[in-house]
Amino acid sequence: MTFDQFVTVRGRSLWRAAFLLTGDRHKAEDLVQTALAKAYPKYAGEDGRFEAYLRTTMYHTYLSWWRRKWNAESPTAVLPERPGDLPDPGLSVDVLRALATLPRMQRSVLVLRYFEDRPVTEVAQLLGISEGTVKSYAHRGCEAMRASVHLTQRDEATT
Amino acid sequence: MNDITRMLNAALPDDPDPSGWAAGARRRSAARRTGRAAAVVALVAAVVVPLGYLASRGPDIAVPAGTPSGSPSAPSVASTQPVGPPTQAPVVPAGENPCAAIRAESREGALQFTPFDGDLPDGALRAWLCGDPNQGYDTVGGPAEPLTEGVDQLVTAFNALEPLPQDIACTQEYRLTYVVVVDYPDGSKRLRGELHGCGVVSDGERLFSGGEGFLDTLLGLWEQQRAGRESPTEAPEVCPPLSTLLAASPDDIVAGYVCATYYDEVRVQDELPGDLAARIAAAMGEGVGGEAPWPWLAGGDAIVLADGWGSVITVEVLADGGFAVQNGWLTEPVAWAPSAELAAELQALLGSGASPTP
Repeated sequence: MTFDQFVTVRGRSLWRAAFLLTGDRHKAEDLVQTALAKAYPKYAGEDGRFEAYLRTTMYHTYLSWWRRKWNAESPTAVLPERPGDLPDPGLSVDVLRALATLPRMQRSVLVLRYFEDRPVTEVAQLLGISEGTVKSYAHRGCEAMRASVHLTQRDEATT
Repeated sequence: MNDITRMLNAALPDDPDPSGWAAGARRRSAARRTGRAAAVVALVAAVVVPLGYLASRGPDIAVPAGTPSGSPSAPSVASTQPVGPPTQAPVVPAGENPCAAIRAESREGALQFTPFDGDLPDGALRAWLCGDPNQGYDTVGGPAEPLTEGVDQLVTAFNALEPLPQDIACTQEYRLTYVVVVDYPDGSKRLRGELHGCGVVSDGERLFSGGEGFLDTLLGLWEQQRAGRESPTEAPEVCPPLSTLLAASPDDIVAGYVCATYYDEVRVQDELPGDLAARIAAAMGEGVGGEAPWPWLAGGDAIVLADGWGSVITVEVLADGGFAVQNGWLTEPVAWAPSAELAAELQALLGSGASPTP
C-alpha cells in the first residue's frame, strides 16, 4: 500500500478522533496533517505499526502543542450531517461543548477509550502515563461529561 | 456501547475529503528536513565566530553555557531554578519548588488539597505559583522562583475574595487551572484557581470568586519582585518551551534556540547562531500586527527566546509565510512581519512557509 493509499483509507478515521480532540474541522485537519508530516519519513508500507506510530504522533502533538488558541476552542455551529440515525443534530454541539470543558489529557483518554475503543494498556503506552492514571482520567472524564451542564440541561429540556 | 461512546459518535460531522493530505504531508516533511539542514549549516558557521566578536556585541546578551542537544526528556522550566545569583539575598532560605510534584500528583489522579477554616494566616514565608497540572506534557508553567517579597499582599488578596455557594453551575470551556502553594513555618497551604467555569479559587472545598483577578495579583507580585532584582544571565533549558504565565521582557533575553520536537525522538535544542537572538528581540518592537491567523505551519518547531527567569517568547511560521509570536501563555499569538533579511534567516531555521494545503 502506498502512502497515498494509506492516507485515503485511514485518514478519515484519524480525522474523526482529531475532531473530537479539537472540536473544529480545520484544526482537526491541521492536526492530522501535522502528524502525517512528522511520521511520513517512517513509512515503509503499512503493516499496522505505522498507523499506531501515526496515532501516537497525533496525540502527542495535540497534548504538547502549547498554543493558547487550542485551549479556547469553542465549538459553535457544527452539526452532524450523516443521514439516518441522528434524531438530535444539536446534540453534536452540546457534546463538543462538554468535551471542551475537559483538560486535554482527560479528553485524549476519553477519545482513545470510548471512541477509538483502545484498551487501558494501549492508552497508557500511547500517552506515556500509568494504567492507573488512564483509569482515573477516564473515570473523571466520564463523570464530568455526564454531569456537564451542556448535556444535563438538554436532558431536562427533553423530559 | 456505553453512553459516552454514543455521545462521541453522535458528535461527528461528515468526513472531510482527504485527497491532497498525502502530498501535503510530503511537502511539510521535506520543508522540515530543509529547515533542519540549514540550521545545522548555520550552527557550524557560528562555531568559527571569534569570541572577540561576540564580546563586542554588548553586555546585554550572554552566550549561555553549551546546552546539550538530544535531551531525552522534557525539561520542566517550572522546576528549574534560574542560574545566576540575585542581587539581594532571599529573606528566607529557598524551599523546594513543589510544582513538579504537583504535576506528578495530578497525573496520578492524586492531587490533594487540604481545606482550612477561615483566612490564610499571617506569617507566610514564601509562595509558589504552579502552572496548569492538567495539561498534557507540562505545557504551562509558573515562575521558577518563589515569591518571598510581598507574600503578605498575596495573603491579603486571598482573604478578600468573596465566597461562592458550593452548588454553583459553571459552563465555560476549559482554559487554565493554576495552583498556589503558600509556605508557613509549620507547613504549606495549597490553593487552586481556575480561569474557566466560574473562575473560582478554592482551598479544595470552599469556593471563592475571582480566579482571574487573583492570578493577575499573583503575577503582579512576581513582576514587582523581579523588577527589584537583576535578571539572571543564563536561561534554564527551554525546549520544549514551557509556556509561562509571566511574559518575558525582550530587553532581558539571554538565550535563543531553535526548538524542534518529534514524537519518539529527542527534543532538539540548537542555539541560535551569533547574535541572532539579540537581533530578533530587538526587532520585535516593529512589524507587529494583529492576532495571528490560523493555521501555523511548524507544528512543534519554534524559535525560542528566553530570559534569565525562564520566561520565553516563541516564534513560529504561519502558513502564509509570515510569523506568529507569543510571549507568555496569557497573551494571544500575534502576527509579526520582520525585515526581509531577518525573515529569510528565520525561514531557513524553521523551514518553508508554503501552505501545507493544496
